[in-house]
Amino acid sequence: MNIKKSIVWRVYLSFALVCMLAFAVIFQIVRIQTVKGHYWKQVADSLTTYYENIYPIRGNIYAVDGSLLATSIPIYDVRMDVCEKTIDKDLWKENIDSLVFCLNKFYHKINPKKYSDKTEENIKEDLRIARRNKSRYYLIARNISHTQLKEIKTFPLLRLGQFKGGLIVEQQPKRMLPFFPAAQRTIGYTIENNDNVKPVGLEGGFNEVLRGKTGKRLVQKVSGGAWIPINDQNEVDPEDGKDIVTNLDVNFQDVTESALEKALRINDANHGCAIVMDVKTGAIRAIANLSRSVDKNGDIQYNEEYNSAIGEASEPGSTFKLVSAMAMLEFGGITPNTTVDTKGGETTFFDRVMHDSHEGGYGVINLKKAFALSSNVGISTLAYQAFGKQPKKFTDYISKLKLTRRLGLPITGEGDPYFKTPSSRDWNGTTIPWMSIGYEEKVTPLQILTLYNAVANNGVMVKPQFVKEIKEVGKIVKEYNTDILNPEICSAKTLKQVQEMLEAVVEEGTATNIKNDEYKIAGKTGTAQVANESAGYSEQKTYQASFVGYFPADQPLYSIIVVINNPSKGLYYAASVAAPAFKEIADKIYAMTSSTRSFAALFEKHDDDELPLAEKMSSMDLRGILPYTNAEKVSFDNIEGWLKIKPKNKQVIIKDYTYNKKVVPDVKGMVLSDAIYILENSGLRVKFSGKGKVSEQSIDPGTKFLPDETIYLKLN
Amino acid sequence: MNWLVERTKGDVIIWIIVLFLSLVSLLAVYSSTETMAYKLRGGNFEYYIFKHFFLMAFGLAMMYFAHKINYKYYSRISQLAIVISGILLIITLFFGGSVNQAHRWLTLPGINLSFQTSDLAKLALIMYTARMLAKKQDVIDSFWKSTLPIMGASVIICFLILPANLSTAAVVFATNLLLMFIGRMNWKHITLIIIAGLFFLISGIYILHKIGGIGRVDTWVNRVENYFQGGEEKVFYQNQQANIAIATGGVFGKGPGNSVQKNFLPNPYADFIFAIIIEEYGLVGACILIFLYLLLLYRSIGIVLKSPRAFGALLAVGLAFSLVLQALINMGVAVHLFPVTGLTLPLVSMGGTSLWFTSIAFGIILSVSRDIEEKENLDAIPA
Repeated sequence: MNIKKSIVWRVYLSFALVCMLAFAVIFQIVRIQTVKGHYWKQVADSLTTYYENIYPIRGNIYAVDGSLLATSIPIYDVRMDVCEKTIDKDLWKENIDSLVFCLNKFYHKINPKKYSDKTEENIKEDLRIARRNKSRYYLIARNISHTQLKEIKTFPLLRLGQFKGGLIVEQQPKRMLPFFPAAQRTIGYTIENNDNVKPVGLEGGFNEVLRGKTGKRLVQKVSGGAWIPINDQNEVDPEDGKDIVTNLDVNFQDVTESALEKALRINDANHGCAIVMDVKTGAIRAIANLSRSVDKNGDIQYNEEYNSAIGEASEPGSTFKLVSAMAMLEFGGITPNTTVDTKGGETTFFDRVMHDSHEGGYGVINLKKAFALSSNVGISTLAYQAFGKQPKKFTDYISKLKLTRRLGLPITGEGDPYFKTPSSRDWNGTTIPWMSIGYEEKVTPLQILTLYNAVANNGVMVKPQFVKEIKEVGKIVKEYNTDILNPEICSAKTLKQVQEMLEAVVEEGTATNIKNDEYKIAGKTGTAQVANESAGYSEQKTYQASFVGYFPADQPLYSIIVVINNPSKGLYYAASVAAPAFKEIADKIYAMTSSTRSFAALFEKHDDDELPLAEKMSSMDLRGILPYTNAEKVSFDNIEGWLKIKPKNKQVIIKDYTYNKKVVPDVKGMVLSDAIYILENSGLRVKFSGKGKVSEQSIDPGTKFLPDETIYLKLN
Repeated sequence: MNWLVERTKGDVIIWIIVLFLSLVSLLAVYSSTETMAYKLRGGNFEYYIFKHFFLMAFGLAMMYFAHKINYKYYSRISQLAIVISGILLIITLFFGGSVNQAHRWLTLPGINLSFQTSDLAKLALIMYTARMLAKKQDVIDSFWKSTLPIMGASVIICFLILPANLSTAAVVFATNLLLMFIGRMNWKHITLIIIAGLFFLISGIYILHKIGGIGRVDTWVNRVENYFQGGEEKVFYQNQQANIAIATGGVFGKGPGNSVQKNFLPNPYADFIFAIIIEEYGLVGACILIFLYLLLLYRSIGIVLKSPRAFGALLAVGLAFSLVLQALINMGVAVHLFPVTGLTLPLVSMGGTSLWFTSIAFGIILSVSRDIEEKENLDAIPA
């Protein structure tokens, strides 16, 4: 019992202590609320805190081969606090001349044109005025790179830093298109971290992906006007944007841009566009838009200003005759051999006169000929014969060809197509004839190309694909597969007939000037009289010449459209304005792709189980070749770097190939160039004989060697 | 419901206190996680409160099962628990997850549950001290037979907690000292050890601070310096915001959910939840909350009076003091009576697994009271 008593008084004592603590807490609350209450309420009113955004790094945009198309780099504005408080008299006196000397040299180095009027005298004078005005924010240079900033930081005064030398550096990210300014309307542009500016092009369409997530941190204003973060960690960490890989090919883009610019310059045209599309997949390999402008020196410039390829719906003109021809063949009871009288190049529908561009007409010709020669009278007469009584069949077919709606591209600013239907208020008797030759309707160049591409692709209409995949730190997170818009745009018979008609355009029609022996082109010219931006239709005739088609006609690889608006050098027919640009692009692409075609040809000669692959090759080469083999199944551990390939009954097994630089690598089964690359990289000298793949090597794999030892290779 | 009420034994008042505290917790956590829900969950306000609710419900279930176990078993369990905590503390020190250089968290493999090892150690140590004190009552004045082994366990465990969490180590050690005092340990020994302990701690921290850059030493020194040098202008951001919350709360508060300072206080749902409670429920609400904790302590003292055995008495009162001291220190931090620590308000703060250890502690107290009630009933029946 003694023990218990002893414990109990101790417990009560402890309890008393705890109660005292509790009272201390309550007392403190009362104290804060009363004695100091006023003070804290004031503090509450005066404290300014806010959530500051922490911007993520915007994702890059790549070409299909991995070239950088758009990226964010930091740029800097350099300013200087030149007032006397910061830089004292002696320091200023001592250094000002050498600073001016350095700045003068710097200006003329970074941009001689922009800073042509800068001299040591006026730089010094400006600085002196700024100092007299006690400027604390005098601009030294705007938008300079990191390297240039590093240089500026070595200059007298400025190298002393902010507090002694008055250096003020402001950084912001800037979006750069390092390679192709002319694809910029498609790639788009954006002002970073500014939600008020809606980015255009792919930057806009994939803004959510590229942008990343903005982080947040709580900052508080402290004395001196600076904002400092309150906590060590961010309230919300920023998440960097993902990268997108487009289907654009830098070489194709280069070719397309220069061919377009050449055509525009020759014809002194207002603007134009050109698109190259992969027939099978719909991948857009190149897209260029150029508009004319005159710079301050009076020189004519062609720059990317408006994405007319995607954004400008206009009257297509004769290229639309393909639709009319297909519809007639499909439901109009007309064959390529159905004849029509072109009546001396002029005919009348109700009160409207239809002209052929060729004066005097062509007499009695069949549909195929009328199409090849692009006879307005011929096509419209046949179209009226076929659909004058059943116009809905025609308009329904147009919507089946997906021309009446936007393509639904992931690019902001797609143009709206326009088509009349028999129920439209302004539908009348002359609508069918004029529609059939590409008037009284509007489509974008890309829509027309999509249709021609479908003809090339055996009637399968695929959606133009700008983006191949989305990557996050090098890993693919989303792939875009070919999207089929219409699996069969017409019957196989019609398809064959229109393909022949498109070939006839080049073989014997309006575009014989681009006929060549190397490969066959199928396509259609189009010369439309379109509304002038300022004057409307009437005052001044504005023409838009286009050529759209595909090549090689017998085994189509690419489809191309070229549109030239308002050529003003007397020529306006599509054949002489747009078709040559088409041919220039096609020629160069044909030359560039000849090696892959020869691989494909090589493959055709082999049996199924023997693929035309080297046993060891680089992943880059493999990816280029694989689509041309009939490998049905590919299994791999890794698809980067060097690979070991095992073809086996339409199946390709891919394994990692690694080599050790200290011993002789195994190069058997490689092509010569790869073998030399690997061996010489290891420090060996190579001599070889024969042709083909490596069959024997003079030093066995895995043995040690002396530096610069020679190895002999035998090729079979 | 009836079924559950019939099977729930132990002090009814303590059960009521538990339910009351849980209610306060739900209200305060719901309000104070609003900003976090807005920032991290895109405005999914229910996310945190549901999570907290389920953790709390699970905690209550653990409390229920803990109170069903005969408290005598806790004597045995304490031996095992103290060894496990020692090992886990060492593991945490070297491999634990860290926040601001403090290695406090350990993730259990398999079930992917992370918990603060010091929470387990705190519970285990009180149980163990109570056990040892009860066993050594006959030789309680001996330094070698009693003071050394009892004190030894506390010193080792607290020393292992210390590098990552100085404040917890100090509070746990102080609570155990209090328990030793209640358990009749020689007060001369206790005084001696306090003096020696303080001497070593202060000189140790001083040396480490001079060397600089080691672990959390600089943080501690900063916090303490900040507290003492203070002055209104140099008060820590957290305390500044907490003071504003308290001052603007007034006598009756701004009403549930109307706190403004929850937007500015870091961790308004844990360390500084008391400031938010004052802001919303005023001085009155704060007093009621303090009263609830004191009542808990008072009811535990009632257990001591009735307990026939020293272990039960010391176990119940030790745990009760531990919980209430922690609560008052947390409140003391919120009202700027103590420097900033990392202690939560037991059963009120949001925080997953620490809530469960608190629940188990309550369960053990209730287990002792249940045993006493049953014994009383037995005595009441005439033989």
